[in-house]
Amino acid sequence: MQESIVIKNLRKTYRMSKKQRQIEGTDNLVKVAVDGISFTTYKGEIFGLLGPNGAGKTTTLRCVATLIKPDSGEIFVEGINVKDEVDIKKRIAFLTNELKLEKMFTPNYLFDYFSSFYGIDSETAKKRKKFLFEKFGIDRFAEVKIGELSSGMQQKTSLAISLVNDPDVIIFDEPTNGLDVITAKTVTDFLLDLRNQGKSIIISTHIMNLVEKICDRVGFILNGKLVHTDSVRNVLETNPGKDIEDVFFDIYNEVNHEKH
Amino acid sequence: MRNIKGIFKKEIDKVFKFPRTIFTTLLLPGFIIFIVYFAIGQAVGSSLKKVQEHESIIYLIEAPQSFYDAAEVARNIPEFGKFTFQEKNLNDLDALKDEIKEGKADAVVVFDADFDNKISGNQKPQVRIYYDESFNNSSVALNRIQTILEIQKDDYLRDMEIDPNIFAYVGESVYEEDRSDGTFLAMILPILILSFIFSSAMGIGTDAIAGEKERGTLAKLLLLPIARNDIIIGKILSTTVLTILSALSSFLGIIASLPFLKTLFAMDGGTMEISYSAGDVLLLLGILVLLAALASTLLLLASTIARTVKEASAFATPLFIAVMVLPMMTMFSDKSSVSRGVYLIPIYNFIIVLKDLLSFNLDIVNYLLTAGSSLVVITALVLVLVKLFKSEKILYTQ
Repeated sequence: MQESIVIKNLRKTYRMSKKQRQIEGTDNLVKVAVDGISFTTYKGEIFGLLGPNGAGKTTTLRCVATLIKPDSGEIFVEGINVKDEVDIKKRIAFLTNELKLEKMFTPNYLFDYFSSFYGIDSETAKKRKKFLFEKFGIDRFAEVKIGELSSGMQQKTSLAISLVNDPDVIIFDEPTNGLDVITAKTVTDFLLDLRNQGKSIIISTHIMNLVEKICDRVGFILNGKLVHTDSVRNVLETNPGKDIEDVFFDIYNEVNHEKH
Repeated sequence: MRNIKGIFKKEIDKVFKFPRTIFTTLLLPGFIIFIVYFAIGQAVGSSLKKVQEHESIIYLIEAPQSFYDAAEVARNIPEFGKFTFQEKNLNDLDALKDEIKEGKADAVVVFDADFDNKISGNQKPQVRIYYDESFNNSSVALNRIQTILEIQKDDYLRDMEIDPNIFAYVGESVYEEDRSDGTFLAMILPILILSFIFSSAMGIGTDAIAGEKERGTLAKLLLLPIARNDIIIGKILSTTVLTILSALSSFLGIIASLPFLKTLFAMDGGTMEISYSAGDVLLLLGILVLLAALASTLLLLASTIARTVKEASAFATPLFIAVMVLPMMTMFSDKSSVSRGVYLIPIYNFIIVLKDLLSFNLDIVNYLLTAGSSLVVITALVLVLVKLFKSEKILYTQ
């Protein structure tokens, strides 16, 4: 299989404010969010980063998306170092439910606006818009202001607009978080479609069931460290009678036991 | 450049695509200014009407018959206004001046003794008019006396075939406090221009970044395949342009209300014949653009550091207060007391240059010093903004 994202010894720390130190109950000035993570994802697969809140999933994905810079380590996307920010951003889509759209504009306006930065010719952009808007059922609302759309429709618009550049790599932070069941199903079905088209997809989630349903491989992440990586099939086959959630807690208990 | 244009376009569209924002950002400021000045003009007009209707009490000392004759001619001129004379003694002059200061009378006119005979004898007599410039009634009385004296020259001296310029009259204000020599326009316009520009930039600038952070739309911009410098420069340019447009709207409001302010200018002894050259207008435009750019970068700085629009407004408030107070401090300052170094102080230099420009006292070297130092400050602020825009701590405080 062809490599897509290659992460080597990624480390990222944050400086903590006094208030954060009080909340965390520590005197340390620095919090290690990601501590020497290495893994590779491949084209035509969905890789899931599974872990509890604060484990380092979002930080890892933000580093890949060039939103933040690693303290150390290397990241390559499609063979390009993430230091080449602009080149990387042309090839990826970073999606999260926290990414909002300006409420005063319409999906039509925003799609055209975002596509104008990717150097896509107008005919291709038009076709892409038609395809994505139909796929997510936005076409009927294309001229309605974002602020007047339902939250599910806003999320689908955000998703469609993030895919304006037909990216090779899709990075999705908590893809179904905050979505109603119907929108969540539309999103997961679309991710499977993209995977089948040979795209590389990496998602972060704390929903075990989602990993089992759509991911080809999974990485368990705890306290900023990647503690186990394997294909979902292997995880289930080597732990008969257990689902992903059971395996995750086995690993979690093992790590915590070692720690104490 | 294409990317900066893209960022710029959306910021401009935020205003121009929606009738409500066009109204609030571009039309409302000018409309409010027009209404305010229209109201001021009406109020001042009504107050001036009262002044015109006031019967001037004029004390006369050694007034010749020729003056009384001229006064009768003046009395018959339509809308000349009413006046009464009271004859007084030269020995009481100081007491009479005090009465004028107290507003009990409006003016004292002192003729040289034996005035008419001195004229006949070609002895060049003099007339002194004492009035108080701080009282509108007294200023109006001065105008009436001067008109009567002109009639006296024209009707009386010409009939006698005597040179009308044989006598001269001088007005002397008994008001003791020092007064500025600047025109009303030069005193008031810097305050208005600064307040328009900074209040416009306040609304637009604070929202440009802090608003995007608050609404969660900034990350979407940061994910675009363009350099962050392009994003921040696009924001600076769009904020500057919108600030200029909004300030111009306020400016048009003033221009539209000028006819209603005519009385206000006239009261100050100024003139409505404001004749700035094309060069003056260009220099004014240059100052407006630089001021708008400085206000935009300063407010974008507050907007970048802040987490919310409310916080950005709180950061910008001390700046706004300073900007409002500074022009008031310079309102009555004398140009000769300002050294060249002052033209290097940001914001303050704009006020002084605007004052110089509007009162036709501009020294081009001072203008260039202001423009140059402002460009340096703006460039430094842009560099700080570019640096801040790369800081994770600043951008992801939400």
